[in-house]
Amino acid sequence: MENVTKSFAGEGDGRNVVLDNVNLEIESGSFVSLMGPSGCGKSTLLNILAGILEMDSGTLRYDGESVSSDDFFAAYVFQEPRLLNWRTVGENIRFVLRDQDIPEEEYDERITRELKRVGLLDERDAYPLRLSGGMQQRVGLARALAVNPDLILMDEPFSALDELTARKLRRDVITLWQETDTTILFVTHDIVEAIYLADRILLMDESGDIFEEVDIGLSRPRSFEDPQLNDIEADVMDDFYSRVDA
Amino acid sequence: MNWKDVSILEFTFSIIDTIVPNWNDRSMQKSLVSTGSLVSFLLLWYVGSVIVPDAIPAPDVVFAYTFDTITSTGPRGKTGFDHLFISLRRVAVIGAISLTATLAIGITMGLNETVEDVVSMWLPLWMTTPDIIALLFFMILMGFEGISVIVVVSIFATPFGIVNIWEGIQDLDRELIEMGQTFETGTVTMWRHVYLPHLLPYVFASSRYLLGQIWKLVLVGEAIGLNTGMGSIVRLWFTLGEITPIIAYLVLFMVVVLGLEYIVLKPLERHFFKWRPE
Repeated sequence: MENVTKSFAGEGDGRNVVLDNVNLEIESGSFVSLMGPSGCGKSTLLNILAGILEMDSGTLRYDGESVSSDDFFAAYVFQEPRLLNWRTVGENIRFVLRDQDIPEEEYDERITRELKRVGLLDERDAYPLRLSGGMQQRVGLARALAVNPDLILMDEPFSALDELTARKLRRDVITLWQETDTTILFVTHDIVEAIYLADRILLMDESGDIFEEVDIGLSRPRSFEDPQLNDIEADVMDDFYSRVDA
Repeated sequence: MNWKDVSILEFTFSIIDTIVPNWNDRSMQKSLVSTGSLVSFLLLWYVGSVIVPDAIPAPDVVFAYTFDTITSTGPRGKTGFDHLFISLRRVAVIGAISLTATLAIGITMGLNETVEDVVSMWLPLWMTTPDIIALLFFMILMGFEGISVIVVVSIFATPFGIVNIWEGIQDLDRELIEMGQTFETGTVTMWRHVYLPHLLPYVFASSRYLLGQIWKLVLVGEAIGLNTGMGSIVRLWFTLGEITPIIAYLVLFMVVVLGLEYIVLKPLERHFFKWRPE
């Protein structure tokens, strides 16, 4: 993203600038976390990449070429699973395959592959409301993986889960990311979560400006109890709160 | 067991437990409640018929009369079943017209602001026009024919369904629409897998409401100005001052409505909403 700006209509004739000249580069196959206070424009940034919102100005580049959001596929994993409760787990994945350039004969194979990957193959014919919150979020993940996206956007996907389930899912996301060699942009409020998951953390302030990038040099697999992780957390906290009001 | 320690409620439950060991089961409870209310209704009816025998005929007399009415040729050369069939046919035609109009107008209102503004402006008037006046007006205008009843009831039952579908469209889950957009889902797929399944509970609620409205209005229309159909026969017995045949037709009417509910609507509902947890 180069010099991306986005504003919404504000009170009276004014405009409320949400993203102000944002520059952001995500390497293919990397895991990048975006951290910032509520309302700073994180979701707006994801929505521009997903093609839900148009940016006011700026450029998107993919492999060096100037593109629009239609030229690459960004799959979304939302904060809530956003599943079709009236369709089975398998049908929920089939739903996102229907209008892609994917032959219908491949649907079953893809559904089986991704459900196996997230450990829910036995729940293929179950309806979402009969699954736990963690399982529903896994279906959301399988749905995103099934379309073979160029980029997966994850918007605080574990914030509504209990800590034990969230920890297990974080481990699983890392395994899936390593297995599939996919690119992930992960939005979170949680500094520890960001450090545990990402190669690189982007810190965003209230005015929608990415003011710092932190490379996380920790080797994988990582542990929440690792003292190094806690040291990085303290440093990132200092950087973050020196710019953003607590 | 010390009987002094046992409350009346516990004693009652222990008796029920002995008679129906698995009464705690939800489906068993439902069956018990349904059977209990039906038996209570029949009992009350019977008691009423004993207290005021001139006004309320006994259940067994009515049931025998109902059976006789259905099978044998009555006034106007038709059996009760013939009249029932004529009324049912009118209900089916009006139901089809009304539900189609309900869906078409309700969905269009949700998608087009101009249509929404125009229809919502007229809705209060449309919904509060007295049906009886409309029936009389159209019968004078179009003649005392079945078609008049079909036209009036189709027009005046529909707005109640429209309001329901319109609310359904307004309640669409924006987050699911956004999800569909991010996965570049096409319009046809969205309608088939998101919009229509979302609207289905509203369609069922509308159908049930429309069915009740239409049944009642068709019978009123037949009673006012037609010579065929259940309503016309009930009016005939009314003018002759006969109570038993009127209640016999009421029983027939209730049997048909309950039959539609339990044979058609409930199984369809179970099929379409099997995704809902118990």
